[in-house]
Amino acid sequence: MIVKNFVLAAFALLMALTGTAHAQSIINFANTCSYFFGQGGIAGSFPWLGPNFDSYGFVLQVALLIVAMVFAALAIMYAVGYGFGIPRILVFVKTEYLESVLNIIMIVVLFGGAAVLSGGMVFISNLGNAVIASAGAAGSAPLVALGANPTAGYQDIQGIYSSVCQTYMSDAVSHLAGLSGLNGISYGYSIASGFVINLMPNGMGISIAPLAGITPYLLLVGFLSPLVSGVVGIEIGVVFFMVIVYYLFPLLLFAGVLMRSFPWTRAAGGTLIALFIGFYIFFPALIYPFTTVNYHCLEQADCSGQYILGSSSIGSAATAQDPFTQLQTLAGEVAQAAVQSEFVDIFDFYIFSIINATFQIFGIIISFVISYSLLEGFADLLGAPSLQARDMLKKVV
Amino acid sequence: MLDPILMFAASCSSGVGGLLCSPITGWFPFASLGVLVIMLIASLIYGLSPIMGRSEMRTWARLKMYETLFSFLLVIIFSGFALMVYTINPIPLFTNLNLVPGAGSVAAGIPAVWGVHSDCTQVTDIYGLSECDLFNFNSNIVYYLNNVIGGATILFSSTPSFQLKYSFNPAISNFGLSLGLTLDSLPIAEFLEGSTLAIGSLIILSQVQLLLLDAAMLIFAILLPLGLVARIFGITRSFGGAMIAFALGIGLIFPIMVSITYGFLVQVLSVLAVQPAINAINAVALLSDPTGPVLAIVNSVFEWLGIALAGTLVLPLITFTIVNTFIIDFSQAVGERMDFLSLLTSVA
Repeated sequence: MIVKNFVLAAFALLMALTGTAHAQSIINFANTCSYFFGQGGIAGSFPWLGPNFDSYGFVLQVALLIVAMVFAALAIMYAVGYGFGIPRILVFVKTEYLESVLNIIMIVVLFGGAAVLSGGMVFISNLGNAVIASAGAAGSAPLVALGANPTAGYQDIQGIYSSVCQTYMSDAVSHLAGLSGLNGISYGYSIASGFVINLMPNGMGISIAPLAGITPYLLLVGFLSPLVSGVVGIEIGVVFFMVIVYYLFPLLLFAGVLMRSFPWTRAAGGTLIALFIGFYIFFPALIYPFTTVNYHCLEQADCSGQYILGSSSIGSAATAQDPFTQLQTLAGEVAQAAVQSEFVDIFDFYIFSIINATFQIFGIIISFVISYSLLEGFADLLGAPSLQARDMLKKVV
Repeated sequence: MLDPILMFAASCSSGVGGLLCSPITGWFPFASLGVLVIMLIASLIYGLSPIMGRSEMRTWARLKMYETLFSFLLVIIFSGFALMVYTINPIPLFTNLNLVPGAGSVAAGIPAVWGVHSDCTQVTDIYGLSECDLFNFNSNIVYYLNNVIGGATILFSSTPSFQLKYSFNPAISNFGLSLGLTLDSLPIAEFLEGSTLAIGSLIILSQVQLLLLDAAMLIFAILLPLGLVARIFGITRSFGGAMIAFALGIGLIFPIMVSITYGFLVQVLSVLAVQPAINAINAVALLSDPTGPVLAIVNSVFEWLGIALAGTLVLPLITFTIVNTFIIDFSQAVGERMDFLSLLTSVA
């Protein structure tokens, strides 16, 4: 058991000492993200995900065919209503006729090509980047240069999803790895705090525990554990929520367009289309700017000036460093037994984690709230009042 | 967990379902009889209204005849629709979309234990396919919880304590140095424990979905004809419409959504097996980079946790939201507004 304990502590310290580049070469979520969002990934195995939405032509043809059938049925109903003198049927036909015309317009717009879709997402993402840059994260280069090729279309959509995936997965593992490394160091402090010098021959004398007061370090680690675990869970959850959205919500779009062609399923179809617009288009586009800031700070040794709050709130250490560089510094300072500066550095890491976690969580919440509000609005516009009236999604969220 | 293929041994295709699986021969006579009765009554009133001098009764009778004819038209349409649901095999369509575990999987050659537990290509209807997909997903998650997270949690959750003592003079007690340590759990262990608890709780929701899928076929077979017949009569028209919407929502839309969503997830699980992590644990990797295999396992744990969260939390919420929206809006169109999830929350 003692041997296992030292192996665990050594593993944690080893992770800490390996550094950013090494760890990221091992924990490489590029494979995971490329599986899901890369051009060579598994997206090609699912035929409804093409490089352009308008390549799925037969759905467009089926939808227009259904609308044509509905027009024919409406014409027959109008004839029956006019011939038998049933005003209710005449009113119904006039209403449905306008709805069917709107359906045709919507089908043409939605299937008008990925350029329309990706153009909207690129615009929203770049607008968010501009806002973040003006708030102080100047000089940060996003993972994906959006809009560089306006005709790329679908590739920009993949780029946004891939960028968010890589950032959040890397952030999650770096948080956990950094905390594990810090915990390895806290083992040392726990051992040191338990060091006792007994000068009590025959039961009389003094007993000294010179390092018993190193409890603040342990308290900080205790505070960090549930926080970091929660942030890691949220980030993983967001990534795989986006996987679900990326792969399954286009199917909802197709189903929604088909269902909206019939009067009795029009509201349900509008709901599905609103879900697609809200979460496939707006959610990743809104969350993307927040990931650019996080990515920038992880890859840079110096995050000062990159936070909206500025660097002055960070402790007496000159900069707030990324976790792995921070832990390398700590490891060196343990050897030098510089207790006071270690405390400051640990507190820096604590502040860094809090700020980073808060920023990311706020980014997720803000993106979710805006997407949800837009979803409600589009659902109401598309004739699906049930989502809004019952606050169903609010309960779900 | 029961194999869904066995549970569907009494499916309609084998002819055991009887009345429930014969929407036309089973329920059509009842609907026809109801229509005949209403038409006779309405015709009688239509004929007697001039004698009685009540023109509004003539209008009422005409309206009732139109509504009854429309309801009978719905009976014909939905009977044919139900026949299609029972007889059309969805496997070819879903296979083309690569949503059927066991056939044309995204990654071939993955050991069955980590991907497909039941070959879903053998089912013949949408209900069997949806149960097979959800069963495969649940089996993967349960297997993962039992083997990977459980083992890792036990490994990391050891909280040993030890004490070293050095005596300056063994003959004198309490005269020396002592060093003691009791270790708390690693953050990774706390993370894994929390994940195990969360997924272990969420898997219950997934099992509830499986039970609901069992009932979906019955709900469709019973409530749809009931609703259609009820809609013929004026006083039960709203109720009948609500039953039709409920039957279509739970009995058809729900299994279709489960087939699509969980079929996709199981195919993804087939790709994200822990084989990369297992392959990384070899002598060369351990000697050259001891952290590599462990970090590769962490990588795989993250992926599995993400898939598990998506399948046990996100997908049920999306599925039930869409099904409930369909029920609400369709019931409003054909009868009385019905909110399925509100009923559940009221009971809860």
